[in-house]
Amino acid sequence: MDHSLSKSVSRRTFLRNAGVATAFTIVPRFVIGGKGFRAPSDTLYVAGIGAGGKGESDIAHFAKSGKAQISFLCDVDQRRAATSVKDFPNAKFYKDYREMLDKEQKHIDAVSVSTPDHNHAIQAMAAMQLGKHVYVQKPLTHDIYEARMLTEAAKKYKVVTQMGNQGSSGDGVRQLQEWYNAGLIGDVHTVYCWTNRPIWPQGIPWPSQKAEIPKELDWDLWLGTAPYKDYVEKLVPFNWRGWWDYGTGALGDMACHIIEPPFKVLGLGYPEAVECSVGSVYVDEFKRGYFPESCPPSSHIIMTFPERQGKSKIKLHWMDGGIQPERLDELGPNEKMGDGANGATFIGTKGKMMCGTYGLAPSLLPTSRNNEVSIPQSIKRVPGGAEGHYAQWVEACLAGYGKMEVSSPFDIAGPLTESILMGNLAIRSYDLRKPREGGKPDQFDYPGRFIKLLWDGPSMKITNFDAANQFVKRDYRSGWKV
Amino acid sequence: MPKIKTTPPLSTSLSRRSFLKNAAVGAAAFSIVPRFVLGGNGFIAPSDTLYIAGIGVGGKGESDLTGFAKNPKAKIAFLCDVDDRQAATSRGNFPGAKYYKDFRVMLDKEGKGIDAVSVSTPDHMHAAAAMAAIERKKHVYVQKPLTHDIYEARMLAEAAKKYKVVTQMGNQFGSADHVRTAKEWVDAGLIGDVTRVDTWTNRPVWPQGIPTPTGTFDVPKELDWDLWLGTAKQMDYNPAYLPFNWRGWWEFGTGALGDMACHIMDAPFRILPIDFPTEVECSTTTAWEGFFKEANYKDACPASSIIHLKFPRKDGKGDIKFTWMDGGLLPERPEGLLPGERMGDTNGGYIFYGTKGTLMGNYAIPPVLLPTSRMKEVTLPSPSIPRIPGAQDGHYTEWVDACFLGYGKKQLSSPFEFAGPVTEAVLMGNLAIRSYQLQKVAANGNISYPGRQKLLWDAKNMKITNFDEANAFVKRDYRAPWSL
Repeated sequence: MDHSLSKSVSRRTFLRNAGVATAFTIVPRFVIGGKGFRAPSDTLYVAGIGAGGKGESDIAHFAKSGKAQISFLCDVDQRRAATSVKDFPNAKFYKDYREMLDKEQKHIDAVSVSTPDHNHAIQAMAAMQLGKHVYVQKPLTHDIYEARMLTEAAKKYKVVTQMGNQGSSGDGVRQLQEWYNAGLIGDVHTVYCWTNRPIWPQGIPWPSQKAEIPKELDWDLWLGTAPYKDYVEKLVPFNWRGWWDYGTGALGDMACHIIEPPFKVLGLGYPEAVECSVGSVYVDEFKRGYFPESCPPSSHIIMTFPERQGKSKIKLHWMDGGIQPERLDELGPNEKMGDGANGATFIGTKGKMMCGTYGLAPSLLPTSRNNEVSIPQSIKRVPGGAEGHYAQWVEACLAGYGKMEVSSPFDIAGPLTESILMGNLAIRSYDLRKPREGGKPDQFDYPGRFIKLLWDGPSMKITNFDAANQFVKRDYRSGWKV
Repeated sequence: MPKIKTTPPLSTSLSRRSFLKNAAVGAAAFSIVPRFVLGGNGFIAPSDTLYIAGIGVGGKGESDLTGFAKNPKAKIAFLCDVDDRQAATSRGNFPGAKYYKDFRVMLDKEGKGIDAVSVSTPDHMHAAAAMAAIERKKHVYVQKPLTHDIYEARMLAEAAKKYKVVTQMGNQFGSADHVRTAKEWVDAGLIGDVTRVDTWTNRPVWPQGIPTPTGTFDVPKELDWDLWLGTAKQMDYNPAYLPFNWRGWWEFGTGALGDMACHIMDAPFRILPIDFPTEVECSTTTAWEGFFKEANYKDACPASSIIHLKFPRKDGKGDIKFTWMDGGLLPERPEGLLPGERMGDTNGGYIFYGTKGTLMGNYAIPPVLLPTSRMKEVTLPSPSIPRIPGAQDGHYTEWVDACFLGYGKKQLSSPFEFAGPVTEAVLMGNLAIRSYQLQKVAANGNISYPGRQKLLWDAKNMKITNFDEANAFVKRDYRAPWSL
């Protein structure tokens, strides 16, 4: 569907212009007042695409800011939308976001996207092309290419963007940044990140049994960009995240929360290389399960980030599915590494530091060092910390593009998401197979294994194993484009 | 079943066996008296033949026996297996060998006719079978891993000394040239002092991290299930365990580590000054039985694991950090390895990180210095460590020769004094995994995993000092009437 930018002076453009002309700032509604008149500048009119689950809580958080009105709700599954529909009885409900944006664009300032990963990009892009500010759940996108496109679009359309990794507004990452900036751990060369996700089965066969499509669900719309498949039980509302056609696995679920602190603190950009291995699945003696649709049960990813302005090359390890990096020697036997199940550790030439998910519980190591150093606060905290992530975006939208700093704008969230998706690219390359030349029918070679993939970030290209490039950008089902 | 009365292990009569030893120790000058010299009808020449009994003669046991038989001095005299199907090929190969189902009966009845015993049963029976043989002063060859439990490995290593028998663990690549080459390079200082070792395997290549098999099945008529269970706890027969998959179940097997670590960790043990670890920690791929519901498949070895061990160097030059990964997981690629270069081989590999360089290899491939271009730049030392005739294939025949010469006369590649500590280190990984799997359910239903921590090991006393529950995995209880 082709969306063109509206030529009329919509509320949105008014809002943006108001933001630019900051001198008179926000005109409160009661000043302009009057029956039927909608104050443009003190309320952000938000449309929520994907209104259940995380979408539901995102929307509730925007509303809580006191400056946002949830005006429209959109979900392909009425069951999922039920709570939000009840919470916001005046919000008009749509099933198809394209229809909603078409019909209501003049009444929408900003859009929140909290759908399954495979539809993030098209929805966010459609909103941005209309000049709408966007808040997009993590991971920003399903593919690397999409992340790049959204990052560029945010700049092009001058919209306020925020990815839904709320921990990036927390105090923890700012504390880590201050320690790092103060040189407390020297030059960082190694980072370990890990999560207990997936906490659901992965590395499993696609449930081939066709099921009846629930009447509340528009299956075709839910599929969106994904290749057509028959509906199967339990794929919605949650299980999609373990299947490559829709989700992004453990990395997609947690890496935006866990890799964000090192990414931000160390100022990382595109990685230059990635290697991976995954926990194998055997279905019988010597018979390896081959379930390329399914994300793996566990993975070990190692990304290399190049030297940056006199700072060392960084090796960033990611482990998921239960496997964890070695405990640091500086930790006491009864001290948790990270938050136990998840965390990140920074290994520098002069010291080490760690944190849990969302940058929570930042700590120098050994932990006794926390009491010995006192670094003055130099980075402004976000009011409300991680909880303030939502209101921060609402306020920034009201202020207009470029006027107010947000914690996870797409120019940071895009490269962060790309790095995370590099892990998935490596995993999917690892799973590529071809019949062994001259071998038996059940013998395969896995050319993407046991090698290191080299990444040309600016060109978005794996330079030493071309087959991997199919995972940079997938083909959408016909009728859909970003 | 009733405990079988066993004869006293040490015979006072001058048996063939003791003759064999005395001949080897005392009369080395004239060495072996060939059979035809002593000759005569019905006379069994004592010194030109090693009479071997095989316990567990299918699969690896089968190939071990043919390995021994390649030495013309070895005679496969007795075969023992609890499963006739597994024994079929060996019985065909050695039609003159008398066949038993119960090794205790065999050793009791035929003790005097046996010089040496080969043990290639499931892991949970290694120690019981080997110890029964050692106590009767039979030389033993035991498949890897030497034992199922740490305690058993310690006991076998001590027994080998006490009873002065010739021992060899079946990690045949311990006799290969590759590890000797690698040792020469490390000894020559090409990579400086090693501070870190990464090892890995592609095993398990069978399902692990799965629910315990259920169902009721008839025991196949060829199988004596009670004897197969042996030291393991009583349970119903299930075909899921035989003949191979027992290795993925803790009650019988030792998982990926048991299958491969004795091969892959052989090189670091042979080359570096290490024996007992002081610390161990692990993590494993979690099994999920449903959404947000962690499975508690505590009977099964995990689908994949990462083990970290710390070894103090015996030369006092600090510690070696030792990592093991299995189930598909790989350690980080070394800096010197080019993007397209293969790390290790299909089975896994080892990487030594030293103060002056990096060395990579695996048991069946030659070592390389990294970057591989360094191979052309340095002068590699010429071979100084004696090679084993026949390399890995010589592992079997060397043991046969050593048995002839008698205890202490010939250096073997994997005598229990070496194989015991290697096996203990391998099994430390399993101790860590099983501690990691321990689930504690609180009164309110909350589940915790108290063993998911670093474990401190007092090797001398065979004790985890900071998490007592882990000590349950040092030594298991045998089913009655079995004992070590």
